[in-house]
Amino acid sequence: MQKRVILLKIMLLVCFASIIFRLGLIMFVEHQVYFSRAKIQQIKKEEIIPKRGNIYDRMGRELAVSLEKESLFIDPSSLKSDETINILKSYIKVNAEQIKSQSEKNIRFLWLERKVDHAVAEKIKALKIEGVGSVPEGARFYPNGFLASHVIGFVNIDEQGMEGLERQYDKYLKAEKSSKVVSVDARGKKLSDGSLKDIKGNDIFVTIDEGLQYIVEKYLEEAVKKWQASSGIAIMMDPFTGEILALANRPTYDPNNLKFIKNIGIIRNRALTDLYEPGSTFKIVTATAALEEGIVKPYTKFDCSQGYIEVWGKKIKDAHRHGVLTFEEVIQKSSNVGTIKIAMMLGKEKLYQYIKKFGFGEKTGIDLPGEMAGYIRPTQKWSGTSIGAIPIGQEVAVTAIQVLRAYSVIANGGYLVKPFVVSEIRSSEGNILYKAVIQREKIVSEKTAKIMRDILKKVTEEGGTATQAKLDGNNVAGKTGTAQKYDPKTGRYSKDRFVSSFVGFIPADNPRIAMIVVIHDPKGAHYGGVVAAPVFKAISDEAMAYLNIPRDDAKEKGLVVTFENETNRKVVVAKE
Amino acid sequence: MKQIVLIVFSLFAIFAILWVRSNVISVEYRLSSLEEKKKEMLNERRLLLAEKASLTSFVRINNADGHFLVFPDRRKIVYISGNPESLVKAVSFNKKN
Repeated sequence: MQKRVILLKIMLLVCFASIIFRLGLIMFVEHQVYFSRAKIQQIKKEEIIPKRGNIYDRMGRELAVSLEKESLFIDPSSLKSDETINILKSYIKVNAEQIKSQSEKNIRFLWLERKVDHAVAEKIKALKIEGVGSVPEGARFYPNGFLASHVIGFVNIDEQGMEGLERQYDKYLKAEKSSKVVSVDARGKKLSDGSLKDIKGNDIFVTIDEGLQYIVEKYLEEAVKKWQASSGIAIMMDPFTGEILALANRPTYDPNNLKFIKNIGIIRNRALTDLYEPGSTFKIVTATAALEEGIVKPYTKFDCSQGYIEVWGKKIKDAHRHGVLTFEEVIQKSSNVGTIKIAMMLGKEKLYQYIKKFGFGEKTGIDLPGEMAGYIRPTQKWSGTSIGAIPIGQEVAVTAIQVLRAYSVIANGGYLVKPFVVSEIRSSEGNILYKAVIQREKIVSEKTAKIMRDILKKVTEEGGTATQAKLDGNNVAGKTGTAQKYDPKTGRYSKDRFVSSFVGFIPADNPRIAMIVVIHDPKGAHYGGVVAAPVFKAISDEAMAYLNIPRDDAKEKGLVVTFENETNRKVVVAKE
Repeated sequence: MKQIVLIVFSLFAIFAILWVRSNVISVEYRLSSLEEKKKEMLNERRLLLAEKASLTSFVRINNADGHFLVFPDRRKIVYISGNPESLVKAVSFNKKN
């Protein structure tokens, strides 16, 4: 009995000793092995879905926002029957053939559909189909659809900026992928340490105003439809600062539905990329240069009674025969003959110098991608007829934004401004990373600009070419343009293809907005005063109301009430 | 006696440590589920804000049946300059009182 007890004790001791030995081995010798195994089981690396920064208009209204969606994937090799595909088909679009072919190649991963709504993803997840899974991904949404699509642009499926601001400011908007380490239990359930992180790109605030953009797009759309035009452009800008308030092109697209785009050309920002001959809108360059150089006075007379002028053997006609015109009337009535005579007095070197001063032939520097510089030949390459063509806007290739900028010089008293779209960039914490600085350069005197403003006002008055741009309540200053398009088949100017435009600013004496409307290939009419000027008027009318800009005659009509200080509370209705 | 107290104290300490540890873990579970909820709510908030922006956009309002944006006749707008605060008191509140 005693022996048995001793044996039992020895056996127990050996057992415990071996357990202690094993524990010692695990704790002190094999520590690292088990530590790393535990780490794999208990710690999980979790990806944080980066959110692209938002784009807001000048009033803080969302133009582009980031959402989180689910992307569904499948392991094609796990596909056992066609039934799985049929089930999936009732929720999403499935390419059955592709899944089968990938399955045969033993490929283990294939996207089923990317960026589907949470509700759909949840329904599919609830089915617990073997081999089907989902991952969250950021997705871009444009609340206004097609509105300002050429300015905002769009991103591709991987959230990379492809067009517009999305492309230009991609490095600011995008957020780098990040991950964090989380503890998990044996079942893989997460144990949080309370540090929920959200990674978001920087927010961009633009100078565009959603309201003005809407007004501009509405009337541009109407005009393009009415005149069955091939395309249309409208840009609205603050002439003093260069802030783009609205920019629209037709045809257009909805960045939320890129798959419906059939013609890739519609994503082009024509306002910056399409070159055209400006026609009569270019005459202000010649006129301003002549005034600034002191070659003419507003009442200098030019004989335009012949109705044409011969330059290097080529006859250049006026649209209508005029008599003797003053310098003012030459611009008001848009006389080609008068303008060419002014240009001849000015000389080609001076004319070229002013064309360059007005920024033609080079990019405006607007912060949008794809801008073209346009083209103006140096004087050495001018032909004999160039002095008869260039002053009236032929033989030059410009963009709509360049022409608008040139008119802003007249509106703001002689400064060439740099147009811009982004006013501010803020980090997700609200810190300002970038603030736009107004860039401008004095190119003509205030006196010359003032004379030109007065002349351009007359264009919309009785006897001018753009009476249809005249607005009830505010003076409009501007100029029409009707340019024949070059026909590559004949090598001559087309007789039935035109570019009709109107560019101006309002209120003429205290300009708040400068705007250009360009309609390509209108049918039924082609004069800028008939096709583009009414669009300018319609937009201006609503824009003035939207911006709360009083009528020029508001004081005379008793529409301005002035409140003096609180103590006497005296109401003064100003009547002058 | 001392030994018993020591054993009881040791047992109590062990259970206290285990209790605290299990509580920390359960808090971590709760935090984790709350974080999930917060994430969902934030996503929903983003969705709702996007929806709101879409519904209040000029295009949407003007396309709504029978609703069109009509800008006011500027001949009927009176522009008020001066101190707007005094204006509110003088015109609006005083009348009500």
